[in-house]
Amino acid sequence: MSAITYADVNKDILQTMVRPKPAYFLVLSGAALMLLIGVLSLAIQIDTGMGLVGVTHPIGWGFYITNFVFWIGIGHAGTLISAVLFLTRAPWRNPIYRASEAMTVFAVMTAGLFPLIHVGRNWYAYFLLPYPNQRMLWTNFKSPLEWDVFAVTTYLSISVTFFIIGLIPDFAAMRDSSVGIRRQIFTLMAAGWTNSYQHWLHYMRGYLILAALSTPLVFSVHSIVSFDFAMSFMPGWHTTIFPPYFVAGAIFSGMAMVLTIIIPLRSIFGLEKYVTHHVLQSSARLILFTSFIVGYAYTTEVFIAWYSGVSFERSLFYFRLFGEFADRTPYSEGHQLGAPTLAFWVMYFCNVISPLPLWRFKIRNNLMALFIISILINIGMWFERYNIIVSSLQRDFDPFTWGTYWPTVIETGVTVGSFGFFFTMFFLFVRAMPSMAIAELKEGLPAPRKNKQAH
Amino acid sequence: MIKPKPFKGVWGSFEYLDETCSVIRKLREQKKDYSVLSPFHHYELQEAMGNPSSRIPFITLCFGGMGIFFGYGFPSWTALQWVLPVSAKPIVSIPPFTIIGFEMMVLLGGLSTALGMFVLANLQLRKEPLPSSAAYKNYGRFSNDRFGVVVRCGEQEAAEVERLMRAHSAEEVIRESN
Repeated sequence: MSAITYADVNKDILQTMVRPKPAYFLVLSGAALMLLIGVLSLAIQIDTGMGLVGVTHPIGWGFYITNFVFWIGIGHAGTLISAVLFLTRAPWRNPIYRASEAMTVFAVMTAGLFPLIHVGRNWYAYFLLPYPNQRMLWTNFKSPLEWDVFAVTTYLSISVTFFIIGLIPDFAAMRDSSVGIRRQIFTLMAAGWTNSYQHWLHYMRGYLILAALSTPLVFSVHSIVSFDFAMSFMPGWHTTIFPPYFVAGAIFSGMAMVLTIIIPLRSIFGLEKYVTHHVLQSSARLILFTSFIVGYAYTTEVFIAWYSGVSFERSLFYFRLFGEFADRTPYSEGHQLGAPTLAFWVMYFCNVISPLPLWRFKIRNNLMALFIISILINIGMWFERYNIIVSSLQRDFDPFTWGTYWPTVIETGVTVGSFGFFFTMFFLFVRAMPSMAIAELKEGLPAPRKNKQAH
Repeated sequence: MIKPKPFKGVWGSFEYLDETCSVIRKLREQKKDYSVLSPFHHYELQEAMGNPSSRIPFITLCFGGMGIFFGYGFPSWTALQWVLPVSAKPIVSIPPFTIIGFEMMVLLGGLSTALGMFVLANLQLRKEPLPSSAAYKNYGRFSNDRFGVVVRCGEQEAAEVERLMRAHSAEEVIRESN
């Protein structure tokens, strides 16, 4: 980036907000259509009731909780990039951290919708909040579900704060380069930012502290989400590996989503000189690393199920991998290739096998290959959540309580709508705000010096 | 509310970082009352200013501590308000409340840090005002590609500061008296 000047950064990033290519509107329309499908499906569900969705005894958690866990996981990469990589001083984060932070905010917003949708009678969603009933009986603070409320709301609050704080110097740059009503709006949004060291000093100190607070938050949030399962005694859920397994999976899926959105963004807005191949390669390496952790977790789960000697665990994992005990061949009469079995192998292929080509430099350097792998990982991680949640509920301890789960059109529509919501929000964001951090991009450029010999 | 002091002094803009740092070091040696402007945070500028400190960590510590206290205290209080024994489990159980304590620490610590940044900076700006002229407000390059130095001083010192800035390749040097 040596040929780029500070003024070029302002010009290039601010132009993304002026006139995007037609491809932008095409992508936005697609996302808006998906959102419309979701809104319609949800409206029908609210009007008719939860009977329209596939969750019923004994499978009380289906697509909606799968989506909740999936979207919380997607959010993790943003905080990892903005906080953890800031503390470790990884310069390749600078061009992608703003988009990743926006991704975190929108992903956690999307995730937050699902407990509200899942409760059925959405107008009672406030039951989740910690408040007492008429007889002063409070919510159960020892319940993992209540921990979730605290973890997710804290995560959303801190992510939004981090996101807005990072935007303020850029709003000041937009204020200084605009006129008329836009200038007035950006003056308000810049919150009196002066670019003086009275601001920079407290800002950088505060930013460092926010990063330090957010780092354990990244690891805690998905650990707490995993406690929703691990604190129970269901086969396949009651395991100590869940917190690190969930966190690694979250970072893995989040990094894949970063690539899914950054690669089109880069070409739509012509940001190739900032989002370089080095940035994409570094992201790909992180994906490869977390893929190994996730693959190791899958293997360990199965091994521990066998090694524990607990018949319920053993039979559940057999069910996840191969389906029913009695039906050993997929095509035998009366056999249905169960959704958990399908989910397991899709998950395994997408999360463990499909990232393997990233070992090769040529693949990491190939945008189309990276994009395809990132989409496969997103699919795989969604199926991982589905596989964990649904298969354990299908095969409890007592065969009398076993059941099956198939999603309905309504649940599928709401799931499609969640992707629509996320991408619509994201693509509206890149049009309305700088999608890259102007101030931080300048940090990566050599400063202009009169005495060039001194450095 | 503290009224900002009126600005009286000189401000200059610079293209080069090393020249800006030289001016800052000289102003610091001469114990002048100055402020520095930059499109982004640069450690060389901070070092030239003598690494001034911020009280933000103290704010985070206070509010983070309050968060921990609230996170343990509130669930304990609710548990004791209506005692619900579940098998032999303790009524006030520390491990599950640690999660609430941690989350509240991060929440209060984080929000107070964000708010504290602006409160502290604006309080400091009231004591150390920047120019308020149209020329300064419309300059606009301190958020783009120029470094700046603002010196609050009287008429007599202003000429000396102007000379110093021009000697270090200042692009523009403007004397103001509001």
